[in-house]
Amino acid sequence: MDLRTEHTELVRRAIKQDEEAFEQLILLHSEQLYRTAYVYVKNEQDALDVVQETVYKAFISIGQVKEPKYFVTWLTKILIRNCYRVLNQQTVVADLIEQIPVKESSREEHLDLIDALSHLRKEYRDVLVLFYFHDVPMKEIASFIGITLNTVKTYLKRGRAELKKQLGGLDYVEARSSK
Amino acid sequence: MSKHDLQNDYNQIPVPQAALQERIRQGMEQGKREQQIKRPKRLRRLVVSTGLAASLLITSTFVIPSLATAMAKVPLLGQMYRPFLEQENTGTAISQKQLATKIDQVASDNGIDIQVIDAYYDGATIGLNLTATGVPDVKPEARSGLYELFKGDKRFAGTETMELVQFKQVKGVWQGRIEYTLGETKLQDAIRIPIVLTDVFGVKGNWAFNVPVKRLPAVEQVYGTTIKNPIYQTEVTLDKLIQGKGSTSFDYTTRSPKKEWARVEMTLLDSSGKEIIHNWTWSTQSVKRTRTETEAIEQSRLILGNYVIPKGNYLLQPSLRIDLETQPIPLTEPLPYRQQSETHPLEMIITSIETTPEQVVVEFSRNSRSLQVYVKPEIRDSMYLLKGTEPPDGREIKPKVTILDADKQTFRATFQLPEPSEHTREEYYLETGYSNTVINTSLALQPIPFTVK
Repeated sequence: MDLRTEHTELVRRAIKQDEEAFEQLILLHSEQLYRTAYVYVKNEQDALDVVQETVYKAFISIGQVKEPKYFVTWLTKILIRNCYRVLNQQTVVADLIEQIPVKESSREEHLDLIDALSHLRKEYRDVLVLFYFHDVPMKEIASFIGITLNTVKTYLKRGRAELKKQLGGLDYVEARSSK
Repeated sequence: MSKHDLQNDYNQIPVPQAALQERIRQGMEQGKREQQIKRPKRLRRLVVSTGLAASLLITSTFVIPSLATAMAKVPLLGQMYRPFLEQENTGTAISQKQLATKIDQVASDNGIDIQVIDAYYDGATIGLNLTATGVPDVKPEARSGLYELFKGDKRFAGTETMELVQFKQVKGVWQGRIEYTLGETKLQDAIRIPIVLTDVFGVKGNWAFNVPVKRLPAVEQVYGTTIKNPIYQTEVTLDKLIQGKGSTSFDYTTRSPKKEWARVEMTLLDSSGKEIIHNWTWSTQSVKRTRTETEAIEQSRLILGNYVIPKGNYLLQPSLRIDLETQPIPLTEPLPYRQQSETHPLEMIITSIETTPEQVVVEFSRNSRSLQVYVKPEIRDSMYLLKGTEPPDGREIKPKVTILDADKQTFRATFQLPEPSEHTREEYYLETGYSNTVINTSLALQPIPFTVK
């Protein structure tokens, strides 16, 4: 059985409430989930919180996945929503209350990428993350965010250009040529 | 570096493997517990039987906090009962430090032997460790026992509780742990705990115990430090800290305007503001709620299991979630219609309502920071149209949501009516989802400084 078929089989089993298959799937995508969460929330504790909440929500609603091929998109969707939930709380807290002490970031690594991504428009960031880090096809991104395919392409193009600007004119090599 | 590879950078983000595995495990455990309560018969029985004990919480990584989880499904009120699902319990530390008292009581019924092997009373937590032998081979979800604490004991009137303890096989032995967090009831340092199991691994029976426990030495520090926030009309007082041998608990009181319940999440910080424990799922039990003519007062207890706070200076950071009651809005309401609580900065303004016999189109704006991918499902889930003002019964109409301007946070919600109506404007009412967004938008309060001597 090739890897893709094996993955599909795992998703099928997970949909039928096979806990072991679900766990295997999550472990398979765990680093990706964590890294994407980190890109959004920018600290280890919040990223771990997001992953845990995502696993929990995915576990109780895996039965909703109708087509195994959409599993990754579905899981990423839950993850990103959780990221925004955390970000939303952080933003409101930071904006509305000036009396909060500045929370020391638990970041140990200063990554240009994360800083650059966090300064992008949210639309560009979502599209770049889904396309580059989770291999979600453009069509699915369009349906996920609720925009047209052409808009996805525009966001990708503009997002890359903004990233380049953020990083002082450095070019990104497109790891994926097309979808 | 002349070129920057996006995916390479992404792959260089360090992954805390051990913590990640643990969080995945905890997420799954949380999910399993949630699924447990979907068994309707048991849930109904538990909820009915527990009655007043709803203000108390049983917690353990082995125990299924079914009441807590059931309550967590109740919108608004439930958030308080979503605790401890991710946190190690007091018993973990007590076992590691070998501080539990050996018990060795055995009860047998229908071929199953249940043994209480040890017990502990630490800070505000009582715990029992059990083993089971002679159990049938059943599905994982049935590997549990239904137990009642304090049944028929007048000393604990109003605090009796019924819960599930989940058994796990460790080195061939079925083990379970029950933890009980004390509420307002004051107990003596040495007491006997009546406990009876009535359903073990799906087998009905009677396994009764009367377990002696003695409280481990604990340090209690009284503070009475209050922080006030006039904008949110809320104050939080750190009343007391109990430092046990395997846990630390904080007693605090929240006062808020009578018309709303203020729920508080706590984060423990060191004196420089660096986070020590982020209590992200509210490991808090509500000990007592009262309402005066003007105020809602809630006494709460936050227990950090498996954590003994060292001497030093700290900050306890409360974050506030406000639970409001809102009423559906008539479609005939003059526009623009502004919805804003006196104590929360979230504002929602309905700018236009267009009705036709087939549909209702509502345009509105809000000052929430929700972002595009999150906001649409949030609005879809919380906004609806209903006929009359009775509570929703499943026939409420959910909208199709369009983002008009993401930066200005303006939206359009389109509701398709099930059948054409000439009297749409008079018949239908709009629930905007304002209170839902308010409770999901926490507000940080000033941190409370305290010293552990």
